[in-house]
Formats: sequence, C-alpha cells, structure tokens
Amino acid sequence: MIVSLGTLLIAGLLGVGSTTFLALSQDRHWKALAPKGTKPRPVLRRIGWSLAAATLVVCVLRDGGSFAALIWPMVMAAASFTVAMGLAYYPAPLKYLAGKLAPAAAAASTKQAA
Amino acid sequence: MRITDEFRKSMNWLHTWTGIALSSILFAMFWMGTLTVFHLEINKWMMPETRIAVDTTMPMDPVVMPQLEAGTFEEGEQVFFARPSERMPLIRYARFGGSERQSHFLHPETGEIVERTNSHGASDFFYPFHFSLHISWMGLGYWIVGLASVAMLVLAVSGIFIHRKIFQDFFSFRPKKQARRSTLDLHNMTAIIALPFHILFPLSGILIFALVYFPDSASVPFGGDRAALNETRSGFTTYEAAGEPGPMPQSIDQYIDRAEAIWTERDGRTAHADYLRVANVGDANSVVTIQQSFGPKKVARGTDMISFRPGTGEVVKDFEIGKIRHASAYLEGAHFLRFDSWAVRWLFFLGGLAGCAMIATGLLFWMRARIKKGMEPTSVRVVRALSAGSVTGIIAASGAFMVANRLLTNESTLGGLDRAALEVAAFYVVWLGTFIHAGIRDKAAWREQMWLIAVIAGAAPILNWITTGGFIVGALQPGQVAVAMTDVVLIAASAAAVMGARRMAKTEALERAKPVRAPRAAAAGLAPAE
Repeated sequence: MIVSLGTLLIAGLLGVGSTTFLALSQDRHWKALAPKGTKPRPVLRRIGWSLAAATLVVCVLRDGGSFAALIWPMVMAAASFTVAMGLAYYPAPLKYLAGKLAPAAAAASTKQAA
Repeated sequence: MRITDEFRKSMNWLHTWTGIALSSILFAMFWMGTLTVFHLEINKWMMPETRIAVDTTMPMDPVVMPQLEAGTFEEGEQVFFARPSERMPLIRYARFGGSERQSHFLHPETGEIVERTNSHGASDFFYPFHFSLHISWMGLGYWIVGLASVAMLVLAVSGIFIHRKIFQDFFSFRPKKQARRSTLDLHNMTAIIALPFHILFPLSGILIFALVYFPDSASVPFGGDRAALNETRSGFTTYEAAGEPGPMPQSIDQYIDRAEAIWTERDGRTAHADYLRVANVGDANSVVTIQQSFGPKKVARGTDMISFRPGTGEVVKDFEIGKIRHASAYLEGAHFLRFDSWAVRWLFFLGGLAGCAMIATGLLFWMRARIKKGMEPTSVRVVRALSAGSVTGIIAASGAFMVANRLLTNESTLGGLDRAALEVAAFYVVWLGTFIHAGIRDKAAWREQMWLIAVIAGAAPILNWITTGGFIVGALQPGQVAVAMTDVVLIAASAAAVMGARRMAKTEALERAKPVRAPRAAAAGLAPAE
C-alpha cells in the first residue's frame, strides 16, 4: 500500500513539475508570471517534456505498460488541472519559480533596477 | 486537409447541436458511470452486511461442497459461485437452467445465506442506469446510449476542430473574467486535458455492446448460429446431462489451484479465478468450470476458462480469447475497471467528474450565449429547467437514493412499494421535482439545487453514522475503508456544492448590478468557441 501510494505520488509530483514547466514555456503564462520584458527560454519546454517522459517511466515501472497506458494520461490530466487552478487562484509559487527561471541577463537587470 | 473557416463553422454547428440535443442523456451517462466506478464501494455503504473483511484466497470447499452435496438438482441445472473479493466480500451462489432461478449471497466464514438489505444498491441502480437508462422497452435504452456514445465521439472530434488554440489555452482558466468566458475556459480545459478518457469510454462502451447493436452481422460466419458465435467468442459451452449418475467433485479448490497455476504460467502474472460453475451436478457428464473473467493484474477482460471432469480430473476444455479480440478486450477491460488497481479507479473517477463538468459547462455556455442573443422568455425558462434538472437535478436525486436507503428498513412499505422500490421512487420523485422546481424558480434554480445537493450529501454520512455507527475514523478498519471513503466523498461533494452555490450567487449579483447589454447581432444558433 505504501509503495503503491508512494510511487503514484512520485508520478503525480513529476507530472505537476512537467505541466508547470510546460505552462511557463507558454508566452501567455510567462507574461503573467515572469519579470517584465523577458521571454520564456526554449529549455523550459524541453524540461517540461522530459519530466512528462519521466512520469511515464515511473508509471511503467509501477504497473507495467498496459496499466501505464491508462494511468499516465490521467496523471498528466490531473497535473494539468492542478497547474491551471494554480495559475488562476494561487500563482505566487509559480511567480517565484518564473523569477528564478528568467533569462540571466534580464534577471540581472531587474535586480539592478531594484 | 486545410481547415477552412467554412469547415470550422460547420463543425461548430455540428458540435453545438449534437451537444445540445444529447447533453441531458450524456450527462446522465457520465454521472451514473462516474458513480459506477465505485459501485461496489457504494454497495458497502448501502448494505451494511457487506462491510466485512475477507481473505480473497480463502478455500472455497467449505462453502461450495455443502451446497453441492445437500442440493437436489434438476436435469440441466447449472450451479454458479462468485468468489469473494475485497470489494464484494459475500459469495454469490446462483442456480439456473432449472424450473426456478435462485440467487443467494453466502457469508464467507459460515457459508450461510446472508439476509440482505433489500436494496438495488449502486450495482443494480446506478450501474445499469449508465448503459440502459433503465429503459427496458425493446432494448431502447441500449440504443439511446449507443447513439449518445457515437455522438460523444463526434463531439470530441468536432470540438478539437473548432477549438483554435488548443495549446495556448491548455492551462487557461480565467475565473475573474466574465462568466461566459470562464465557463468556456472550463469546458475547453476539462475536455482537452481528459481527452483520452472522453474517447476511451464511449468507444469501449460501444465495443462492450457491439453484439447488442449488431447481433446478426457477427454471427454470419457461423451460419447465423448465435450459440456457436458465443462459444467461439466467449468460450461458453452448454453441457447436456447424460442422464446417468456420475461422480461428485471431491474438491473445488484443487481445480481452482490447477487453473490458476496454468494461467499464471501462461500470462506470467498472478492469476485469480473469479467465477466457478458446475454443470450437471452428480451426472456422468458433469463439468466443473473455473473462470477468470477479470484478472487482478491485467487490464484486458479475459474470460479465461478451464473445464474439468470431476472424478478423473481430466481437462475437458481450455479456453482463452482469440488474439484479435485482445485489442477490444483491453479497451473493454479498461471500461469495466474490475482489475485490482485503486489508482486507476480514482483517476477514472476524476476523469468522469471532468466529463460531467465538461457537459455541464458546455450546456451553460450555450445557454448564456443564446440568452444574450435574445431568446423568448418562455423558451429561456424551459431550457433552464431542462438543464438544471439534467445536471444538478440528477446529482441531487442520486443523493436522495442513498439517503432513502439509510432512512428505510427492510420492513418499510408505502403504497405497495417495498424498500428497494421506495429507494428508486425517492430518486425519481426528487429528479422530477428538480425539473418542476427549476421551471418555477428560473434563474435561481441552479443555485438552489446546489444547496439541495449540499444538504443531501451532508445528511448522508450523518445518517450512515446514526444507522450503522460507522463514521470515517471508526470505519477505517479492514472491510470498512470503502464506507469511510464514501463518507469522505459525500462530505467533499457537499462542500463543493456550497462553494458552487456561493459562486453562482456572486455571478447573479454581478449580473443584476450590470445593465443588460443589447443582444449581439451574431448569427443565431452559433456559439462561437472563441
């Protein structure tokens, strides 16, 4: 029980990580969250997809391929929903993350301005 | 193919009108299907005698053999046992093929017949509702559900074409924008993120009932012989009695062990037989069949069957489904959700809720768009009443079914109806009531019915507590976890309904404060998916 709960939790966290990066890689959400004048770095999208793949790997290791084919899309769906609700109602952590991930030059300039 | 505006417009038309025409039926199917994910858990809640822990690998002989030895069987009569599971700890014992069908539930420890709560429970009410709508006349319910399932696939595909910014809008939910915008956001989001789910379920549902929809085409290769089709497809064989006495099986467990060993080796994963059948007990042509319809560790529904001859123990038949049928068996198995994975069950429960939200918000969005464009007040009233009754109404009615179960006893009768019938009556009375209420209360209907849901869902766990003494913490013991979870979900539903009602009150207040804008001159009937 603890193992099956734990592995699902890991998959869920990786999924939320994945969808967080994918959301940040989109102009609309980036603009709302990140320091002004910066653009989302292309690496965000790559990290997002890599984490999605990692989620799939955890799902396959957990239950095998035929169950992972059912679990993975639903974990990603739940993660997407979580991030969408986070963006709508509780964006503070995402804002913090976007600030950390902003391109170095821009981040430096905002620091100087502050 | 290039997607022209013209094409998109026609897809929009298709999406809008298919959706509106079938939204009530689709919502009923999604809602009842969502409850069906946990039908055995809700059964435990509704039938306290099933709240027991059981060892699912317990020997079956102490229960099965006395029934076989004590019973007098007619010629051609078949005996059926369902092994106990964690979700359904009682052993089902049925006899059919004789002059009278019999069905009992036996206690796994004593083997005695358990006096059951006289209720349809979730298994015989919510479950069949989602695939038959309880319309039995000429099988019409199956056909309506089949049509709606095809429509659901049409809606999914057309929805993708009209939704221009699938990726940009993937995470977009803007609750602070106007109600119409946020409703559409929610519709798009619940549809897109759970799209695999929204396609899997109608598709696999159609596959499960394929033989109901196309009974003759499938039996053509067998010269129209449906029994032959059934035998090839599902392995069911009818064994005729020889009319001469033969040996009784000495033990059922040895056959279970042999069958499970064969399957475990063949599939490379733990097998668990779920059904046992004995044909022609005590006859020379008696056959014991061990069946694995739903393996605990595989998605595909199996219908693995091995038949033994009592006495000699020879294998009469070893059946597994064909290679090609495996593809559909996988999809069907995913729909049946009988395997041993609580993770999939919870995720699909959430998927079902997403589907319900998708249909409800789609309906709300269309209604708001139409009302804005100008609609006759009487039509507005009718549409509002239908939509509220179809969405909040059926949810409240399902709760009323469960509340009635806890308020009634097996001795309850009213107007010639027994307990089981009264519970169903409670469902339909409340459901009908919500349509009437919505017709009278118009704008306030959704909000007030949310409050109704909050009260019913909040009352249910309290009634469970009073009538059975089981309440969340107390119920967290083996065999009772399902009951505790049902209580938790009911409380969560109640809280969600309160939040929904409050949000609606806010929206209504905002709408009252704002002057009504002039109706837009857009083409009537088109609800553009911005």
